[in-house]
Amino acid sequence: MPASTDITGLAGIAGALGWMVTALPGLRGLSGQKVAWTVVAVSVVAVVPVAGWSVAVGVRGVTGDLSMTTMVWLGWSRWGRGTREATMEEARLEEGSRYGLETLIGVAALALYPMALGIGRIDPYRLGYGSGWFLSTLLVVALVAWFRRAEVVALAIALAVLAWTGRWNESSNLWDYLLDPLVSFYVLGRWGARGVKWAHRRIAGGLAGVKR
Amino acid sequence: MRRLTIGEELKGRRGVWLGLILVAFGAGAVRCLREAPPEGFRPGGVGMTVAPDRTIASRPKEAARGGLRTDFVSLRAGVRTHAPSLVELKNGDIRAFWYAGTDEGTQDVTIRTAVLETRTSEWGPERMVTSREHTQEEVRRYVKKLGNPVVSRAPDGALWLFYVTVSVGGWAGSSITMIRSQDDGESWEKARRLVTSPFLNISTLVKGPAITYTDGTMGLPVHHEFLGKFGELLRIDAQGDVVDKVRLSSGREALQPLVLVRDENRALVLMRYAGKARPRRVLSTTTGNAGRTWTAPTGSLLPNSDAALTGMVLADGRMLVALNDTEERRERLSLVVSSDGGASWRTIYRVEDQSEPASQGLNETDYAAVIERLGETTVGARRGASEYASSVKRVMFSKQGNTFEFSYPSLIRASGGDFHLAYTWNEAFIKHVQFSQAWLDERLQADARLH
Repeated sequence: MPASTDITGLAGIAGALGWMVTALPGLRGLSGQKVAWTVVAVSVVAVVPVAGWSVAVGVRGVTGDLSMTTMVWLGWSRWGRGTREATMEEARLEEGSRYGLETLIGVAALALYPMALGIGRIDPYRLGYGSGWFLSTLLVVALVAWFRRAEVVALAIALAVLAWTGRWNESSNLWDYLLDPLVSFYVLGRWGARGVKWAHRRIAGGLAGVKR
Repeated sequence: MRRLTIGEELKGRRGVWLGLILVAFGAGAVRCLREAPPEGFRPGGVGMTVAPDRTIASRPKEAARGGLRTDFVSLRAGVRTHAPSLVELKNGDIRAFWYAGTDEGTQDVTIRTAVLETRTSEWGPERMVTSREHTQEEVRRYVKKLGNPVVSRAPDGALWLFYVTVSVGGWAGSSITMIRSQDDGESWEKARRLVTSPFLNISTLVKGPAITYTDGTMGLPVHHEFLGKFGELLRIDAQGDVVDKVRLSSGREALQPLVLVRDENRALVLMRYAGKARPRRVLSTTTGNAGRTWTAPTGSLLPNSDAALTGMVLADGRMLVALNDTEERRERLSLVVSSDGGASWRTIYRVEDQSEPASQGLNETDYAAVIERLGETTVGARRGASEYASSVKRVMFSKQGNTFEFSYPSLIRASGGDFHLAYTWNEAFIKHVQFSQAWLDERLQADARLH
């Protein structure tokens, strides 16, 4: 009988794989119902064992359980698109939320992973074992995000705290509910791509200036 | 009817989101309050591997009247055998765990065990506790290889066996898996993985035995060896969840911490030195507040050849440590004692010492002869001397030439009064040395060389 954290962990991986499939070129235009069925179908395939192994088990063996932030991010990026043009105000808010979530993920990843793995003397990962200061800081961040109408940020943090309290995943550390390497790499990858584009524009602009 | 975007949904439900935030953090606050730090260490420290409330069915007899007895724990020949860990069972017998396989890190490595029946002073047959495949099935994750096992007795009397598992890469990609036994190692509950690192849960290994805190949680000394090489002390609750951890060092120098608990508040940690500076010395750090803070690690007076060590605090407060007290190789294994909390040490016994033959550049024949002699002089040897020699030649000589290795010691004191030391014997067998308190007292009084 698998442990409850195995079930939730594998379900999270399987669901994420389903979501990722619906983001593939050619499937992005699927209607809401078709997206849901695709996610369910891919998730089922991911957990069905073949010769004792399933895709979800294999992926989880490397990545570990996914954080609530990843789940919220995936859901938001897939379902938040809607089917109509957003008003300028909605677009501004959504852009602000995306920027806020990305910034928090990127900064947290850059601070947490190197230090937790031994760069420097401080271990921020320890804060995740029930530090009142850490929880208070997160509450402030969540309230600020809510006040500034970046509710997706607040939602990701609140769901992470709830899941940690209920021991949704295998880990007993709050950081593992807030952040995982997949979403961190994704955000840092986006930052890297933007940096390359920015540098390219600067170089191209400079060359154009030389020509003039 | 048009679909609402998430943005629209959120706008219409701001009150709900605020309520969710408050509920989540309210629940989180309750959990934080429940996880209060322990008041102190449970004195007894390392080596206190016997549950305090258990009943001894039969007291083991003292070591042979000479006071010291040697024998081999493992029986399989021709395999690489390493990293023993000892625990006293509820009936007074001693159980050993170690790992063995074709080579270190190969997929056929399994965790193995055998029991010393103290009435007869004989080790029983060895058997497998778990394998890579078995662990993989139970933790529902890919497992590439197994490593060091460490056994500890939990305050509730159960045996907890921690062992290294690797899913990705080499030892730097390790995590720790745990199994529990309620019947002293006859059967085991389902394996579970400890989550100790935020990045793919890699880079945590175990070697030293656990200690206990006054609140019933356990402290497991571990180390990392990915971006840094440093020690940590994990606090694990009765369910096997990591509830806290504290760094014992930083940088890229310290591995395999050993915690020696002196009283409820004071402890000394000794760590294998993995740095490049000379002279190589065991690193030490201390706490005076039950592990909440630790001093910056400094080099002790103990030499160290980048090798593991073990030890315990004796009833009179002295510290007894087994280690390779050399700076280069692991050809010598000694017992050393400190009477001043680790400030100074003196050697009381050379358990093994082949540094002289090794330095002579032995050819294969002479090397085999030395191994045969060592096998013959082991009291409880269960194989012919030539079998020991051929096994050692297979795992040692073929790779490293004429070297000897006596390493990765594990030391406990049984309730009957005898001490049990197990260690890797030339990476081919696990050897066991049993000595009495009387023998130890005699050594403590004998002439000894100051470090």
